[in-house]
Amino acid sequence: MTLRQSALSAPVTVDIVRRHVLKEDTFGRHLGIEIETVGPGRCTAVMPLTEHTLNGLGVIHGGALFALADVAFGGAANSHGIVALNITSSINFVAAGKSGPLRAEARELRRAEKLGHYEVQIFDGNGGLLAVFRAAAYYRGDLLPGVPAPTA
Amino acid sequence: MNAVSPDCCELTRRHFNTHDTFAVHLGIEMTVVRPGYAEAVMPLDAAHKNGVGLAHGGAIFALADVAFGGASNSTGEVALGIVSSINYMAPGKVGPLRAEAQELQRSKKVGHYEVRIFDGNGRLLAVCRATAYYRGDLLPGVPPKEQAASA
Repeated sequence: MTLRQSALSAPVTVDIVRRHVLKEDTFGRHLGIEIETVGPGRCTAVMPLTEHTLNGLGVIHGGALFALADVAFGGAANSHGIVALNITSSINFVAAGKSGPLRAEARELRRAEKLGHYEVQIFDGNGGLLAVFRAAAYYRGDLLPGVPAPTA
Repeated sequence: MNAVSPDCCELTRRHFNTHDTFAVHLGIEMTVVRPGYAEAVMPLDAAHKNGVGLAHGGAIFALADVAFGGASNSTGEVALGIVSSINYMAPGKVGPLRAEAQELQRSKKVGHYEVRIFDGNGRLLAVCRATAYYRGDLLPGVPPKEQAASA
C-alpha cells in the first residue's frame, strides 16, 4: 500500500485540516477567515466584509477575494492528510462585490500522486458569484501534523 | 497612450496609500508610480505568514495586486482587475517583499501587466500576470483629460 492510499483512508478530521491551514495561519486569521467544512477534496471558507477588505473604490479587494479562495483551496488540497503546496493559481473576477459575508467553495478536479487541480467559486452575501479561482497543488509527501502515519 | 503627467502618477500613488484600506491593513506601501509602472513593498510579519511560517500565497498575491493597481491606474483612469494568474517559484522567508509591475500592452478599454515579486534578498518569489478593464472614469481628484478641453 502506498503512502498516498493509506493517508487517504487515514482519519483526517476537519479539525486537523483546519488547524493546519488556519490555526498557525496568521495571515488568514488577520483577515477573519474561517474554515466551515472540510470533506475529501472539498472545503468551504468564509470571510467577513469589513473596511479592511475594500479597495480604494469601495469594492471588495481582489487581493482579499484571492486570500479567501487560497484558504478554501488549502483546506480542500490538504483534506487527504498530505501537505499540499500551491504552485500556480489564477482568478477571474466576474462581478464587483459589495455585500458580505463572503463564502468560498473549493472542490477537487483531479488528484494524482504529486499534483492536484482545484477550482474555487467565491460568492457574496446574496449568493452572487464574484470570482472563480483555479489552482494546482504539489504534494510534498509528508503528512499534516496529527495525521497518523500509515501502517505498512 | 495619452501623455501622463508626473502629478497624475503621484496622485495615484497617494490614492492607494490612503484609500486602499485592504493594502493599508496589510502594511503595503506603494513606493513608485510611473506611467505604466509601479512598485510596492510589504513587510513580512506574522500577519503575512501561513501555517508553516512562510509568506502566505494570499499575501504575496495581495502585494502583486496592489503593484498591478498602481501601474494600471497610473494614468489616473480607473482600472479594474478582471483576470490574474500567479506562479509561485520559491518560498518567501526574508522580508520585506517587493513587487514591480510593468505594463505589457494597453489599449482603450483593456491593459495587460506583469508583476514580479522579490524577497528581501532580491530573489524572485513569484510572477503574476493581470488584465485590467478601463471603466472609463477617473480616480477621485484626477483632473479631466487636457485634450478634452482643447478639442
